[in-house]
Amino acid sequence: MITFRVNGVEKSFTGDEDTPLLWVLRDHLDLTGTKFGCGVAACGVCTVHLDGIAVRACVKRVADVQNKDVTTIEGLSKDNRLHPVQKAWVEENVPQCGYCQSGQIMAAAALLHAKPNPTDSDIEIAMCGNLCRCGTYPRIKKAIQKLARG
Amino acid sequence: METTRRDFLKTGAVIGGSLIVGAKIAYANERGPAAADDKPFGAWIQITPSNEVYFYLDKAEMGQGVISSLTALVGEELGVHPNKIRVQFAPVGSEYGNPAMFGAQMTGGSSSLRTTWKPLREAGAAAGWMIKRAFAKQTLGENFRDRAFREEEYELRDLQVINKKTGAKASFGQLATAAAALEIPSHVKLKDPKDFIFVGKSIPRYDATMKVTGKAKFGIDTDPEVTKSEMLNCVIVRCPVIGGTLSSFSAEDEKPEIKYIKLKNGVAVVAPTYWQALQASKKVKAKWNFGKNANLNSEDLTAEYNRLAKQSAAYVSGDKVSNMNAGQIEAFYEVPFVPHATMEPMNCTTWIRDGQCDVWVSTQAPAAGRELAAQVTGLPPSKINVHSTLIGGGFGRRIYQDFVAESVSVAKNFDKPVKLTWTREDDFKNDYYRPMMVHRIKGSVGKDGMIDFWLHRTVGQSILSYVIDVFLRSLNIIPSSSVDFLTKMLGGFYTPKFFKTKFRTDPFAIEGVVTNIPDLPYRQMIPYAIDNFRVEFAHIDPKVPVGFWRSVGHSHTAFAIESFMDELADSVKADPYQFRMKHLDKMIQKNNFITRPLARLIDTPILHRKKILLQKLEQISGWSNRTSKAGVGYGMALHEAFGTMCGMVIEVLVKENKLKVSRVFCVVDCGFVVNPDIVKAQVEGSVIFGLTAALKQEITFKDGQVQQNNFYDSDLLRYNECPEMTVDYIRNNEAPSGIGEPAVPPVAPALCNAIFAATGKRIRKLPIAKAGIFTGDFA
Repeated sequence: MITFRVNGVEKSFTGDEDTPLLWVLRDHLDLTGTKFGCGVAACGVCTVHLDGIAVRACVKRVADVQNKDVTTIEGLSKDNRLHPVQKAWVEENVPQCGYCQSGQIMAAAALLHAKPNPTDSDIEIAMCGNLCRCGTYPRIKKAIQKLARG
Repeated sequence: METTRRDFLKTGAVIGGSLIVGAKIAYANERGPAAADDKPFGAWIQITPSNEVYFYLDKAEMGQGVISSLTALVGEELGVHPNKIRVQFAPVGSEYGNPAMFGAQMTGGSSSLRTTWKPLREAGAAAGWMIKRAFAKQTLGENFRDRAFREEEYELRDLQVINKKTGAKASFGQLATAAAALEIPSHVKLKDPKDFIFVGKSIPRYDATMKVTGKAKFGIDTDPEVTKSEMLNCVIVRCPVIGGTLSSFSAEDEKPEIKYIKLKNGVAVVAPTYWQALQASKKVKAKWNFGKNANLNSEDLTAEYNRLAKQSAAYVSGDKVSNMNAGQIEAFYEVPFVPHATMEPMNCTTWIRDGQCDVWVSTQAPAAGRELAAQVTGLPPSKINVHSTLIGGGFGRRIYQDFVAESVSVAKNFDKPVKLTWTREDDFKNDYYRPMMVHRIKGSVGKDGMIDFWLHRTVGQSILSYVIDVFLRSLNIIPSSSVDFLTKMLGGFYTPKFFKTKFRTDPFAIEGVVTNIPDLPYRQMIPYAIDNFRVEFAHIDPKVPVGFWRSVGHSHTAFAIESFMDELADSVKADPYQFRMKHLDKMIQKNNFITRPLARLIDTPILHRKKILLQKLEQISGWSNRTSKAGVGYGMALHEAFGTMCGMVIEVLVKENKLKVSRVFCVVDCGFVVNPDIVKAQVEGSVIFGLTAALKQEITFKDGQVQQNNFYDSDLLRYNECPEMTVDYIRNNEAPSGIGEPAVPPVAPALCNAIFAATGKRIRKLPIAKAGIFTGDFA
């Protein structure tokens, strides 16, 4: 049995230990805010935090999260108040279809947590693994730069 | 603005004391106003006694922002902030037919705003009028006089009606039941645009918060109301060759919880969880009949399309005589098959029980989905419930309902709900691609510096033949049995013989070069004066499924037209901006001598709008003061699609084989702008969509198999490749037109023109990566 914490709550999983964290979150824990996009860590829509670091849940075996802390988009906002990154996303009207945005926000939040004042190059490195088919990059850029300055 | 269109509005059955007003969605197209009398009622507004306003939206929200902009139209006339209105997705029904999509219940063609702009405001205004009148009756009691009622004495604000003189007020909810008992007004007074509070303003998107908190439910997130353990998951192993079929299969290490269903083109693997189904699907050993496409190879297609471009082809429009020898400048432009690659993979959940079938799906064509489910299950359409959800990217892909048919076919075998989820590989390999096309253009510029000849020959596949069944099914009136028959019959019009005699072309293959209305003579749509102009089309069908892809035919015609304009300008060393302006001017002059409107090539007001747009583009891009440094280039393009005009200037930096798209300037004219911020967002997104296709995207075939697998070998534009963008729009009061697609077409030509300006190298074949030029960062 694998035990771990998701958004601060103890969870356990008894199925196939090779099951990617993504499907444990979506199909077993009903946390559907984390999305499926490619299954091979090439698009970033499944990005979650593992002990505060952004990882692609679609290739992370659940066995490898034993005793670790997982944060998903559902756990990013505390006490019903939007996380600063989510707030900036709303202010810049970032989402279009919105499907990739959980992953974008988790990637940005991890970056800003590690580096509160990232350079443009830091932002590029952190965000270039997250695809957006609607093309919201210019607004993502504005939102992150605003937070970085703020 | 006064309208007397009583027959456009009606009240619905009173449900729980609510006021319900419905509107007919009809619009005026180029041929005059559509006859609205026989059209049923599409959008509905409901005001409940509990003081809530519901709006039943018959369009799909896929990021283009209709949930915000159409709701704003309703809210404006009702004096209710759009984000306080509760939006529900409408079910399937004949009343939701889209007049811009031949009456099919379908979201596409950048049609949502231009078809609902008036009717939705009228419905809102009518509901508002009834609330005001009910209030007047209630407050005046016996003293209420029909003729003395003055609508303008009352104000609607924040779900309340207020008597401007006395200050007396009541909530919508208190008046809903009384208002519902009134007759619908015969005259509706719409707000003057100068009094708009929400429309024309950048109010926040309706769905922003739900989309940043993970609460937004897409098709892939939407499950029937059962516990997870009761639902089954499905992955399908399909024939690797397009159009191939399953011969036989075996499954290694069979487990009791895994079920296998034989389908025509594959094996459905059904398991309690997606992961189990996916793992089991990898162990399926299948034998296939590859069929006719086993020898399909992209190199052969390129050769064949180009060979056809050199032969004579069917006449479409313009001069009667074909003279390929006349032009001195000749160019072949080639675009590949490209995928939609929506971020949400195709998926559909179906639950068949107790003589009914429920389908949860993100779709652009719910009616076609319902009809297909009816056909597969044998149930009447009334027993099929399609639950439409938010869409994680459409771009035309979700007009096709193949995944619904698959899901229902599998779910038929189970009494539990079954969720089908495509892998990304499934998505790349089983798309309805933007067709590969080749344009051959010959032209010349006379001594006066004006274009005197333009022969335009297009070679490619017909999209129409791959979408006929979807349209027929979406009409809600044709029985399943007839759809197959009609599709076969109409599909037959793609046999070359019928093509030549009846339909000279597929309108989607030449739109942009000429207008795309098939029942009129195809008129020139290129806005530049050309003395001798002729358009031809050669049809070829390699049996690759093709379809609507953001901006459809314009995505390749603009590339050919605007690249060739650049080549012609260069041939006489003319400035690309001046060259375009000169030809727009001459076109206006030409029109002055033509008195019959239909004989005119393009309406003069449209040409004037294009001139204004180009002038603004020239200003904001600093075109005339652009630098002439080595390795820096600027390219320009102008194109009209779906009634919206878009001009673009792209700046590139090129060093050896490295390219940086540094800046993009874009001006659009989409008439009256309902939400400026959404217009800008759509343009930004379209530029990135266009850049992805121009720079890197293609689908190629080897022995009938798609060679691309996933984002690692078919990438999209990424964050670090995104240029700086300046987006502006023309402020006018023309009727609004769509903005979801029209900024895609100018991207490829503006980009290739910029590369030419920087390097002298002309790129005529997309993607640009084919020419060995890749994006990269350099100082």
